[in-house]
Amino acid sequence: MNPNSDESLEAMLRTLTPQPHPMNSLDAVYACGFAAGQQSLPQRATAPMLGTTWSLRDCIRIAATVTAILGTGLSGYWMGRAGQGRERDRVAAVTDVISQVPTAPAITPAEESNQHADTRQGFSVHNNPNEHLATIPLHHEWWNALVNYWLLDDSVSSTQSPNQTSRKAILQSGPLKRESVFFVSSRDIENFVYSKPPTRDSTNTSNHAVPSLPDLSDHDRELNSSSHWTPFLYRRNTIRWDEEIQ
Amino acid sequence: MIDANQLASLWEQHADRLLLVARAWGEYSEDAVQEAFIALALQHSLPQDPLAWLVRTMRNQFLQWHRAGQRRTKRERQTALNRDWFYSADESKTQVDANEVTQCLQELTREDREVIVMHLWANMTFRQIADVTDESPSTSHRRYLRSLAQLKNKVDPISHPVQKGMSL
Repeated sequence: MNPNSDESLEAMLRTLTPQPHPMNSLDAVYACGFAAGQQSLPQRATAPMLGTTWSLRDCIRIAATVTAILGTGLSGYWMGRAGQGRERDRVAAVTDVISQVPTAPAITPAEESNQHADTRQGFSVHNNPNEHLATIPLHHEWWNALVNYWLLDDSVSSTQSPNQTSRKAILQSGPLKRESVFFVSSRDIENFVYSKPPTRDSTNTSNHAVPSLPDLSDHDRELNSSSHWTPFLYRRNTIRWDEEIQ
Repeated sequence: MIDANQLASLWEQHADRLLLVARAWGEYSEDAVQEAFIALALQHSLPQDPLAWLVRTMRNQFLQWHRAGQRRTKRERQTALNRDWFYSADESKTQVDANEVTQCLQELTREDREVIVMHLWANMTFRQIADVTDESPSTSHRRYLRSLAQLKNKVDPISHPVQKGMSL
């Protein structure tokens, strides 16, 4: 091909394919849907993982929120690992993020079976800290509770940044703004990950403020109940907090 | 409100191209694409030309960010610039070096770069481009030809080795 003609140069340049956007279609629709306040979301896509089933949105939530909690770089994980749009990588990225959750006292299988006998529903804790950190299948009940807890209860955040917007303020202001900064202490997730799983009918499932859970037998209701969740995952404000205040 | 399936379909169709166009403008390109789709999701009905609408929205977003002085950290900016703009879906068919082209594009002015990217990879007509850039189609076309001429002097075609036994 003669590169000296405009046509041939155009043809050559067009042999290059633009890199894909790191979000896949479903992620994008979820993100846009939440931002736009839509209640009607497409059926969840499921990703089999460790004997349970996570929706892609669960993965997004987990990656985003756990990363926010840990204060590590969301974009690094998300763009680098899951950014290729491959489900396996996405799940791997989530697992990686979760594996960094600070270790907690081990729960023996016996304790576990006593504590969680009636309410496991996909949530399990192993007695090997290193192992269980990488294998926590967060049930959406738990996840929902974590999100509500995180958003609704300001008092649990032990570390306040001077620039931090309170979670209540964020919630009340509607969709998260680009420059919203939020931070959740590692204690927040520890409280959830290592305390008893919430039950649908109990109000005393733990000694911290767990909001009452909706009936999650219908997954759609769970989706709808989380409509305040907003697509901050690509805003990277979770990692900017560290960078900007230092 | 725009239907989720429509949104998904538009994303599948345009997200990659929009990302490249956004990259031609500079930093926070992934965010810009997402913002444009969020804005689209808020519309009551689909715009007549969704691609042009999305590109224009992204461009306005960039201008707004620029005016507001919202700057990301140097590291993030650099990371975004260093990210690959292209990949080779089929190396045997790729006739130019992706990194070289990216570098050459970055050496163009923003106005020249955007018209090249919009036309070549977003497949936008010069009329659509003119709608976005507020120029006339003929001005966009002239700009395109001038920019292409600059690239011509810089981009070298790849010569693929011919495998034994293969006939040309």
